[in-house]
Amino acid sequence: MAIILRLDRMLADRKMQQNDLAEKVGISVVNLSNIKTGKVKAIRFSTLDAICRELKCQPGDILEYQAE
Amino acid sequence: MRSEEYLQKYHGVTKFLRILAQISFWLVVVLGAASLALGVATLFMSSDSFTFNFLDNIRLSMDGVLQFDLSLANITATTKKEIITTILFALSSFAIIYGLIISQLTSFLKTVENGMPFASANVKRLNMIGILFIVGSFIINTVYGLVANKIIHALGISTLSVNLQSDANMLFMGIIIIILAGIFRYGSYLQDEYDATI
Repeated sequence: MAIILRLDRMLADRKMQQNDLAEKVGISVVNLSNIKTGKVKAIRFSTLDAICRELKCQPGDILEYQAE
Repeated sequence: MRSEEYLQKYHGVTKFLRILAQISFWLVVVLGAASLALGVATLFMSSDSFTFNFLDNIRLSMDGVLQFDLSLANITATTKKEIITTILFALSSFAIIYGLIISQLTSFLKTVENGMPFASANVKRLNMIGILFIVGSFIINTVYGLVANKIIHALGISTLSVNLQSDANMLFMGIIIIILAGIFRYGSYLQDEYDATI
C-alpha cells in the first residue's frame, strides 16, 4: 500500500516504549505492533486521535503517502 | 443493543441447540451404522430366518399424513427379507444425509456459541447444508419411493403407485439456506474488515 505508518519513528522521537503507548491509548500491544508494521487495513479516528494525543503530534507525522 | 449483548443473549439458546444437535448427531450415527450393519447382515442371511411374525401387522406412513395398516402375514419369507433389507438401507441412507447436515450444523452452532458467527468457515458450512438439503430433497423421496414400491409390489396392491418427485419443502429450504450463505459471506467480509480495523 502507498500509505506508510511512521509510528516507530515517532515513538523513537518521543522516547516512548511501545507498551506504554499501547496502555495509554487503550489498545493491545499486538494491535499497536500491527499498526507499526502496517499490517492493519484501517485505523479508527478514535485510535488515531488517542495516538496523536499521547505522542503530541499530528496525524501527518504518523501517516505518510509514498507513490508506488 | 450492541452485537456482543445480542450474542450474550443467545449464548444459552445456542449452547442448548448445539448440545441437542450433538446428541442428535450421535443418535443418527448409531442408527445409521446399526441399520447399515443389519442391512448388510440381512443380505447374507437365508430367507428362512425371516419367518417371524412380529411384522405381520404394521402401521406405515410415508408422508406422515396417511397411515396404512398393512398385513404382511401372507407374504413369503423371501419378500419379507427384501422389505426389511430395503428399509434398513433406506434408514442408513437417511442417516448419512441427516448426519452430514447435523455435523455441519453443530460446527456452525459452536462458532455462534464462541461469539464468531461470521467466521469464514460458516459460509462453507451453510453452503454445504443448503446443498445437502437440495440433494436430500431428491434422494430421500427417491428412497421413500423405493421402499413404498417394494411394499406395494410385495403386497400386490394394484390401486397404489409410487410418484417420484423431490420434496418441495426441503428443496425450498435448501435454496433459502444457500441464499443465507451468500448473506453470511458478506457478513464474513464485514467481520474481517472490522477485525482488521484498529
